Amino acid sequence: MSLFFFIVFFTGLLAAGMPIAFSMITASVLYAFFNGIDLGFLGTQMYASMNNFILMAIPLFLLASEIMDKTLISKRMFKFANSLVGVIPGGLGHVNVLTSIIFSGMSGAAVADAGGIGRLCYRAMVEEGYDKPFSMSLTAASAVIGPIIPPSIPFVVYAMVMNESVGKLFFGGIIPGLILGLALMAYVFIIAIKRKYKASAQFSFSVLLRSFKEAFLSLMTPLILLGTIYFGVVTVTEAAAVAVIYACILGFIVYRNLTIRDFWDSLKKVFFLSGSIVLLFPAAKVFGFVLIKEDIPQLMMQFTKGFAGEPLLIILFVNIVFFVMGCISDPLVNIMLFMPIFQPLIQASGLSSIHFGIMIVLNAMIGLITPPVGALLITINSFDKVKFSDLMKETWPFILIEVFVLGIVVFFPQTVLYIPNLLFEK
Amino acid sequence: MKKLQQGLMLFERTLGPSLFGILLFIITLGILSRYFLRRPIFWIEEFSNFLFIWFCFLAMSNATGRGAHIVIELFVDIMPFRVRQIVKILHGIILEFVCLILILPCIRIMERYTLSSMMRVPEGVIFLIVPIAFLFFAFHNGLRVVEAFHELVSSPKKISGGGNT
Repeated sequence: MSLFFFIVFFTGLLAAGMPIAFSMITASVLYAFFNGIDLGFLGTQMYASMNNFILMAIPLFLLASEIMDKTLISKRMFKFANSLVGVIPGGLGHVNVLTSIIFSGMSGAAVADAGGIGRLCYRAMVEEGYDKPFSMSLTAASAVIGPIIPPSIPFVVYAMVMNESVGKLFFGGIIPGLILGLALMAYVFIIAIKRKYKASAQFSFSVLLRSFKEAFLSLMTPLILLGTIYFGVVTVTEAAAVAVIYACILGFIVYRNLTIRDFWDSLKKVFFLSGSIVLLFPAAKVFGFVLIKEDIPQLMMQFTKGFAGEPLLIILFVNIVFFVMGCISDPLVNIMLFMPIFQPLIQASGLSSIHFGIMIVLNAMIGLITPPVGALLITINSFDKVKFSDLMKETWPFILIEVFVLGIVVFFPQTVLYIPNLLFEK
Repeated sequence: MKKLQQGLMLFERTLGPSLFGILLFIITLGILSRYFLRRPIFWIEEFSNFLFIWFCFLAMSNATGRGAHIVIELFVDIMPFRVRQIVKILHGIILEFVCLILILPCIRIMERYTLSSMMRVPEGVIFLIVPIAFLFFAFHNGLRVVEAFHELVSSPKKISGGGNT
């Protein structure tokens, strides 16, 4: 089987609706079958792809956010955010963004953010008289922050594919995530003035202090997580386990609203969520094997020679590919599928691997709110009856804002590299 | 067959989360032993890797049974119902073939695995989950193909247009 048939066959299976990971496995296995490669070897490759300690961080981060959600800390965070930014016109819109920023320090997945605290913010906004499509779009757009601010599942995946430091990626995502949050809040402010959305709270220092005290222990999660990673106390995977244990201590002992049944349900939920994510690893491994066998990275090197001295063109090319693929495919799939191919482009782009990684993950995450198959749009659209066209009308400005922030991240490397350079040796 | 599948999925969703719970316990034990007992347990990483591998393959199989894997539905959604069912059956048969042809070579290659470096357990036993998972994939996928075929045959006039049902 030639490379041409391999790609045509793979694309055909994708278009025919076969699960993406199975399409990759099927095309690769048939390639091996027709080229006389031992299929057992592919089995060992799939096994090897899972034999990686760092990958365990993914279900553990999912479990931490599941347990956090069950301990009702969302309500505490909502109250705290409301007392802090609810005083600005369009208060609940700002609360929506701020809770996403805070929650992203505990959860590594955007959809978990949208389905948990996002739903709470959406309901509050609608009850306060905000337009449903606007509230939905904002909830989806702010959930994009989730995987940019650490911890982040896509960063773990990128780090695994590119053999990069997860810690540096985590710290590199902080400023871009905050810029994204500020940009969304600025837009909410403009819309609030235009549509006369009022503040949701009056400033009171005592209320702020009380809500801060109530939310304090949950607000500590990101600090514990990043602190333990930075000081080298634990590895990223162990930090994820620490986050789970901390969430359990809050739920079982401090807040006393978590039961053994809840814990078991959380384990089961993570089991269900993990199935579709982890199949991508063996799939990417065997798919990558075929690409290497066919010298695709070498071809890519040749291709980059055509772009010599034009790093901007490379950055533009990579971003366009990820943006277009983000519209029809899953971010993790795109990272695993394209990063091994694009690896030679990093050097030619003039960006560091960390900078490149943050750019790729941010771009891939924007794909979660682009039609036709943005996972966040689909999740948010299930909250209420809103026509998809109305939802999209409100979502386009958010997509533009996020693309603008992507531009800032690309052209100002210090937005990404400042913290990692400060904390880690170069 | 449906009952057998339900039984298999119950087995997966009981064993999988249990292994994950043990995994969490083991990793926590590793941290505690390092900092509080001052005696790091050397086999923790290897053991947790093994638990994770079994957890993952069971989760993949369960997701296959639930039809929960990530799919690009863009093109399928605009196909007429009958065409969509036929396409589903065709790629289901291809996947069935792929899953089945992987099982024997995977079993054969198990012999090449030796004892694991830390725990000194036969790593082939851990690898066994790969052919088992492909057997489970084949079973779940086979049922989906039969289901799609049944839908195609039993409701020929059900939906003539496109759209996501």
